[in-house]
Amino acid sequence: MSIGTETTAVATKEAKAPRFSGRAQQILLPLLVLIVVLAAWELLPRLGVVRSTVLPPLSTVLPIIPGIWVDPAFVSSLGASAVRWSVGLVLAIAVGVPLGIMMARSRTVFAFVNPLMVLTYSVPKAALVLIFTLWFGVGLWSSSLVIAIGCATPLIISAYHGAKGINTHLVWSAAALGTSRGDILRRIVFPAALPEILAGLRTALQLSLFILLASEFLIRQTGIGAYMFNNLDVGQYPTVWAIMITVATVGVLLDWLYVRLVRIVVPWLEGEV
Amino acid sequence: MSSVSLASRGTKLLSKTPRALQFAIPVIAVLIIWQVAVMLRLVPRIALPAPAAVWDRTMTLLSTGQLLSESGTTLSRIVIAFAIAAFIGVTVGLAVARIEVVKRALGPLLRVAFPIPKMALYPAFIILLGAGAMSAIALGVAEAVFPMLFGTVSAASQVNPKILWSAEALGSGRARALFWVVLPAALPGILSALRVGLIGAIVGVFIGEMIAGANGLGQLMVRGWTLLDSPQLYVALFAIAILGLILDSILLLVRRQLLRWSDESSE
Repeated sequence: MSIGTETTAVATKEAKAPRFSGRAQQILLPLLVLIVVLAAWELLPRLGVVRSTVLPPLSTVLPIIPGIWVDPAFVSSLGASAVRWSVGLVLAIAVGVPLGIMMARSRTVFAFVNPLMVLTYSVPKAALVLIFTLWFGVGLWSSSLVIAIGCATPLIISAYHGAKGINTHLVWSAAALGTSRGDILRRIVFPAALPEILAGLRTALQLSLFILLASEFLIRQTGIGAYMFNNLDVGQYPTVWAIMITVATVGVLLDWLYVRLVRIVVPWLEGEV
Repeated sequence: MSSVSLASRGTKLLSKTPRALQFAIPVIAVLIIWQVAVMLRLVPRIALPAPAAVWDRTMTLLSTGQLLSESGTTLSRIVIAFAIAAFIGVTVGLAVARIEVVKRALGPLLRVAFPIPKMALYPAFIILLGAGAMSAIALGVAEAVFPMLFGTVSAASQVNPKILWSAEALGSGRARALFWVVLPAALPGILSALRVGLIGAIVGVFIGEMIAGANGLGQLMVRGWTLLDSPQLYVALFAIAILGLILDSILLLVRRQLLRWSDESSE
């Protein structure tokens, strides 16, 4: 182990060394790559390398974006998506985190849940939306339940690992001091597992957007995904590209916001989220 | 990057392949609950057909050869998506980890691109590649490549610099050292990342087939849904689950073969 820590120390030293010599370079280089990519998007269709009906130049896509945000159809789709997304994510946390902790605390729960999770690990959870629409009909529940089931997986795994990695002496001491089982879970196991759970929630957050969009692409009734496909079906490609940029940006911003929020709410957290 | 390490821990949970019995009890319990739920009509028959009905449908689809041919189609797409993503992920990952200019030029942009919901790009794939096999493969690549790439970056960044210095002292060029020293040393981490990426390839291809495919297991499921032939939905789901388990076990076998020299081979 000591060799491992030594190497990481050397590696970080190496990585940090050039930072002082080229602070400007650090910003300029990625900026340069970004400019090349954006310029390619602009020039390839203009020069006729790619048909501009398929890939419209960036300068025709970007001005469409503000217009999308004032389109009532977009706003109502966004609202519908936001509701099913948040309900699904809250359900996933409410079920996944306690279940993961219970798996760590109880052999029976682990022996029952773990094999089922292993067997269903590669099943695309978004596909379950079809079954749920047969059960509950098209609507809030069918979309939210798929998101809940899909996002519960990383939360269960992270809560399990977080609670499993806890120092058992802490639990014994608390029990010896007369702390009740419920209090041990709430005040010792949960805070100790929190860093892992928060990392799992970040994965769940990314997964939730994937499943949300997938389920809306499959059941094209309401929501951002349906709005996107409606434009695709009528051949409004510039609008589709504009919506894609918008949704991708929202995804990146949500992730950034989440990391920031965790830092503010849980300031004692060490390491990466 | 933490999400990658988390995901690889998820597969670690997966890799503790317990004995058949440990799997049999929960599976039998689920089958019993399923049968009871059907008999008590807790769930509408259309959403949850009886286990026997799903079994019958599996047998019919097997005897007509349809199930195997759709599985073969999906399997080939998953393998293609996995290979493309692995090639891009590992080469770019090695470059980002070990070549300073590439690290500074691409690193920040890749980190920004990581949380983009890849599903949002699917309409672009349809526009650029047409609705069908190509766009399903593209979605599989998009889902698989990022965990592979960042897994490679973190594995290759942690290679002991002393072995690199030795290689250089012995006169190995940078490119040769990257291939012959860094790649083998980072292999355990890279193979774990590939396992995480495999799930992405499976999910991407299957969902891609469902949304805009002409064939494959994803399309088999959608056809079952449009025809209200619900046993077929379950057959497709079970088929993709089994396919995933087989592919994952193959990857584990390859891992064990490739890492026979390493103390991490038993993971």
